[in-house]
Amino acid sequence: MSLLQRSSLRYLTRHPWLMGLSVLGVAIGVAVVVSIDLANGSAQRAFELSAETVTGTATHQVVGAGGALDDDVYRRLRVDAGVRPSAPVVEGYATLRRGDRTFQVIGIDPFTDALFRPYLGTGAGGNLDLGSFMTQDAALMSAPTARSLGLALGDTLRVGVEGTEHPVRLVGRIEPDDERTRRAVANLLVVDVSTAQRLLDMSGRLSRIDLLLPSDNEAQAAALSRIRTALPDGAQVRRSDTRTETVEQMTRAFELNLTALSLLALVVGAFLIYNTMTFSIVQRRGLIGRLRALGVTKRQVFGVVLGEAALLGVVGTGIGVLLGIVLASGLVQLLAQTINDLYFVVQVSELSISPWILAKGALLGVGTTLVAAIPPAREATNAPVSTVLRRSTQETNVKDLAPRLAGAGLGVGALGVLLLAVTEQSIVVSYLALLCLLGGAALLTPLLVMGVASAARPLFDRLFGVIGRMAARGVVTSLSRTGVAIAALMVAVAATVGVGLMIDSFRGTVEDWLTQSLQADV
Amino acid sequence: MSAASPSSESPVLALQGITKTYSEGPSEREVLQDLSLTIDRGESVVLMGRSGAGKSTLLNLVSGIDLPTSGQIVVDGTDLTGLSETERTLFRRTNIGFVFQSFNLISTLTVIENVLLPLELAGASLEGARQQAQEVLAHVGLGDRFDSFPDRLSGGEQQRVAVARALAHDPLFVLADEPTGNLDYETGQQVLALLDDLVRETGTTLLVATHDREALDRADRVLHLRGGVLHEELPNFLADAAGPSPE
Ligand SMILES: Nc1ncnc2c1ncn2[C@@H]1O[C@H](COP(=O)(O)OP(=O)(O)OP(=O)(O)O)[C@@H](O)[C@H]1O
Ligand SMILES: [Mg+2]
Repeated sequence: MSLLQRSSLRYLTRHPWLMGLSVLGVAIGVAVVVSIDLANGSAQRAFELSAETVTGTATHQVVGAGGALDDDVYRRLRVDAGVRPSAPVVEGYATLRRGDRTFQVIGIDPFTDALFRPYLGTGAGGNLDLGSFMTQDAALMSAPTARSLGLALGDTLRVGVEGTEHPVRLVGRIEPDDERTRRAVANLLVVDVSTAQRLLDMSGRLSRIDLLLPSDNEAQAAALSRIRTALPDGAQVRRSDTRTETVEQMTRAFELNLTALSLLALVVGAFLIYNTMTFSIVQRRGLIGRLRALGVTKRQVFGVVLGEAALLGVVGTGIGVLLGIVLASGLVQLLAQTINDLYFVVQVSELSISPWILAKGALLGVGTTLVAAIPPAREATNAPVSTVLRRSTQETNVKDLAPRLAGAGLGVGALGVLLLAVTEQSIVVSYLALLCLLGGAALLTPLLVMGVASAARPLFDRLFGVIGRMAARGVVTSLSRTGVAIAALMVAVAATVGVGLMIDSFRGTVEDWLTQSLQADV
Repeated sequence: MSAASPSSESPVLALQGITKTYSEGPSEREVLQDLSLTIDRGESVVLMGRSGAGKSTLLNLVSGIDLPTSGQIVVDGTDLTGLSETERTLFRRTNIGFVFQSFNLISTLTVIENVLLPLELAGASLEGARQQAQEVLAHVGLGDRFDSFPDRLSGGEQQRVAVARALAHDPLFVLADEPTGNLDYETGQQVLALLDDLVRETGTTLLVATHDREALDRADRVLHLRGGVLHEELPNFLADAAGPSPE
């Protein structure tokens, strides 16, 4: 290690609070990014799984105009048009009183369904008691879920649908073969078509009919035309992956929202780094000037400052990644819960920790820190080469600049308010507005400090005499130091409050957004 | 009436027609006016002048920290005014040793590290450098304070470390700007004596700006900066021989 590096390292360790603040800034930013990314990833996978599970192996689906089909369509398709691999599905949601959990109810025909959803174990060779499954209110549930709810075969489930409770007997358990299936079926309640119709108040109707059409183009086209002639008005046949697409669209928009949120956190972190680094540079102007006199080049000074930032960035990022993983497991619950309440039934209790996401977060953390450190590093290279300490030139600069900075701050802040007032639609614009408000506040700080100090001067004067007056004036004359310190403090508080609010309003935001997009869907 | 030079080679420093103006808002202030000076290798030169006369300004020009408004600064054959900022920094690194009035040392480096810094910057090998630094520190009487940080040293001790640092990398010349300004009389004299001994031992050229008249006793040449130009005075050892100075 060169003496320059050693000197800079000692400076860092001698200012633990300052450095702690920077590290904290980076750590919070990275933690939020990583946790949201992880939660996103996990939720996304769960969405996909759940969509795939209910779709099964079907290539096409027949759906009705208002989301439902007449019972009779199935008979017509199967008997009259001879469309053979086909299976009726009645879908809906229900809550189970035990464990207060939401389940996806899927009503199937055990004779035709095995081809589409073999993992449900309804086919030949399964040990399902078809008689009771089809004649009584009976249901199948994943074995691990039943176990975790303390349910045994023969127990009666209290299934609630829109306020009404129905007793349903647990007659079978689905034993998932692999982890993927286990997660996919965890929140499924499988019943017979007729049971589902009764539970969900859909008597005589189906949610859809799953089809397995030949992959050969010509044969498929022929089958499709045969089906279309058999369908009533309003009903249509579509590829089954369009459903997955809807889910994808939804999750993508959802992700955008969360990503914007996390980037905001990162920007706050960067701002904190910028502030503390600037502060440390202003504090070290004399030291840097002396080093420059001894023959340390501007490039070396620049390198040392960036090196410091890199060190802080790496430490902060490391903490941030760990913190992010912890945060994510909480976040993912919150996320799943919210989504479950409204739309999907997914289980995202497991956090899938993707090394790619961690790497991305780490890169983003260190990269942002370095970028944020470039202006202070440049400032450091411009420190006057000094043989004596001369700080007053710098101070007057900031003092003269303060009104102009404040003006800019007001402008930026006003822009933020305007953006907030105008937009209720765009997430991106809202975040931009927030950013403006934050920046505006920071720019206002120097003038505010000067104002407070000069207002305090007479008061200090009366209370403490000359020494008090000197203290107040001292704040002003060392503005370049105090200004930055106060700005840093403000941002730290803002960041803390912001993150708190963010987590707090997270549910609200997601709910609002979901209702909006659901309304758009309908 | 220049004193006899210890060496007849080309001068180590030649200033020619140096003018330095600072602008303060709309008005301009001319601190140095068409100033010329040559210093030979190994000379010990004292620069006098009242506060604000421009002594520090002149030292900053000689070290390449500042550039003159006009004129030439030739150090050991190189014209500093023709060099880039980085080139002047690298020039300073190898050719100049500094002793300032105060805040001389790098507070985040220990005593020995402060002395090692110019050696490291000049690219000396680590082992040789350490040896050299220890020797020069022992020479200034700080052989037992290698690992102390500067804030643990007295003012006089700090200046002695600064002297050691200024000479450690064997520079072309040492620039000292009021090295005794922050010291009591006794300590100031010790530091001056130390500086004088060391530059003479090593044959280094010394340019020291000071108010301290005692410094004149050791000088080969005395220059007085007045009204932006230099006036050469008789150094004390010649003035004593010639009778009391008229001033
Ligand atoms: N960066 C600058 N900008 C404007 N004026 C300056 C600057 N540096 C020095 N001066 C002015 O130049 C004049 C000479 O300053 P300098 O520091 O060289 O004096 P000095 O002889 O070293 O004084 P002292 O004995 O007090 O150290 C002073 O009037 C000073 O105000
Ligand atoms: Mg001076």
